[in-house]
Amino acid sequence: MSTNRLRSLEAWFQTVITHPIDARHGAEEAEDIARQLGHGRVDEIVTSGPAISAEARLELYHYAYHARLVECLADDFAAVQDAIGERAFEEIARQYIAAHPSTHPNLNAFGAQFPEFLRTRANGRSDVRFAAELARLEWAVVEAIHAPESAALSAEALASVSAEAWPTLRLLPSSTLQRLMFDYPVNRYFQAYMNDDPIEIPAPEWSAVAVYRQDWRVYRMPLTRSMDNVLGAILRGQPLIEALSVLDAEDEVDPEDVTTWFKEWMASGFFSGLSTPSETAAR
Amino acid sequence: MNNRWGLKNLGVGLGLRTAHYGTILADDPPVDWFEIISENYMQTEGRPLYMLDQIAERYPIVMHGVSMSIGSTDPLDEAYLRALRALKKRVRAAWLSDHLCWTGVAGKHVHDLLPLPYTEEALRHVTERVRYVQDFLDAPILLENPSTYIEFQGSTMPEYEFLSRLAEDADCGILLDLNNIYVSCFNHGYDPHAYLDAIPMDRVVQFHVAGHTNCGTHLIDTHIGPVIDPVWTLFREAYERTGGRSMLLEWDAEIPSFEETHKEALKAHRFATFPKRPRRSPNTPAGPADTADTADTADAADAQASTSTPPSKDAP
Ligand SMILES: [Fe+2]
Repeated sequence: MSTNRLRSLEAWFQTVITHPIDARHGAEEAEDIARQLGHGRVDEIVTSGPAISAEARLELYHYAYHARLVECLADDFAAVQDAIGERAFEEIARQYIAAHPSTHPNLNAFGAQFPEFLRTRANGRSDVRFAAELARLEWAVVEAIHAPESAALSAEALASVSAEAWPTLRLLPSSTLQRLMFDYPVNRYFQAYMNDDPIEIPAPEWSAVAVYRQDWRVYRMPLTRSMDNVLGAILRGQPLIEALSVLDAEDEVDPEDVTTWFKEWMASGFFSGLSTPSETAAR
Repeated sequence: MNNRWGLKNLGVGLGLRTAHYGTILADDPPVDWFEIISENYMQTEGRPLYMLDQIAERYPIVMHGVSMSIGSTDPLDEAYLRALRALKKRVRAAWLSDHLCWTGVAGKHVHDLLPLPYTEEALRHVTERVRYVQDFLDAPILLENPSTYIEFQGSTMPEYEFLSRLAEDADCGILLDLNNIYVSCFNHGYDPHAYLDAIPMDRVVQFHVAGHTNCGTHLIDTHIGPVIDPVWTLFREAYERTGGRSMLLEWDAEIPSFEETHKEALKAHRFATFPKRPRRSPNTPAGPADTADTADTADAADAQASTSTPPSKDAP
């Protein structure tokens, strides 16, 4: 059964309403398809309404397509929108929509490439460079919301590891945990944004944060450089005992501090299980 | 008159929206049933499903999709249909619906309900696909009349004829959206009552009502309440002609408090008599309160709505 005509009509319509500028430009781009359909003018394909023209009706769909996707990005990247302003945000969002049209039945992952897209668009603009980093944090929050749940490793399970197994013990990260490093104080800025405090785009400064979910809520824990070194070593799969001692004298960290951090990470459900060469267990 | 499948009149339902999760789980409000946007619970294994599971424990759930793209000339998305089937089983959905539209072609999704030309070619095409989907899901599906802002010059029949013939030929149900009838008829200069006259009422399983935005020259189906009186009048007429079907209020943008949304839905009782529902079990322990002291922004779900403009993803 042939659906050639329907297929051409759909291709024409989609080309018109997804054009980055407006439906009129879209119709120009779709002229070849219109000719295949045996038509020249827009109003030979779609009708005018009682009170508005065929072109204006197509613009409604064109507007809706872009507005919906811009809004989707603005929801996921609200702090970015606030940082660079609505106009700049919409402009870059529209470029993103043109470059990365949705190919999924739902929009949950639509913004996945937006942080990287922002980074490539910075062109020396430090506010956009910062925004790209901020976008990474906001996307990590989105991912933490949707990540599968994993049971947290209990202190008891850790305590029950035998002395012989201890040197090779490795911890497995929770499925919701992400460790992010930035060239700007991104989490401090984001927290101020969430608190509605007055904020300005900050000067570059190293920072790191752990994003994780516990009891179905998403949290952010700032990490100092030393904390980040230790956590990084654990997440890279180094034996726990080695990871906890990656800091040297230069770090000027009290070993007791390391124990305190580690306890906090355990209590926050950073780990979902443990493994030793002889046995693998996830609790 | 019952519908062909004997699907129950569930009473007055509400569209489940992220903004209301907290209230629903804490207060256990006396809503007859909830309709979910199916896609919001796909591509996620996290919080949206966790919330939904709890709500599905307490209320009947109906699934309403926006991305089946039944009218597209792209192949049907098997992975999507599998996800739909799994979700239906998970929440024990009473039934499942989508729209008489297409939502993208050439591998793209535009996340809007785009109009079809009402031709014999399109009718054959959509009929074949509805049959396939119903076999795949092993259940009837309902298709909803969309709000439209254009018509195609090539159409050879009105929408109501297309929808009625489709329902008969494919043996599927109809989700009749009274607001969409009103909006489309205004936009194209038709009589909404004539539209209603043409619909085979034994195929109607569910009603939608919603608010829209009047732009003077045209109406936009924004799902911003309240529902205007002429739409309630259409609802009353349709409800009488069917002998009563489940009805649902859609409110997707500028969403007010749960109480206000529910109050608007309950206006349906002024226009129709619903079967007495057995009282549901009393308040069960609520889920975690949804305060905002963390980075927990809105679930990045609820991204799709069944309107053309403007977008309607829930606010945090
Ligand atoms: Fe609807």
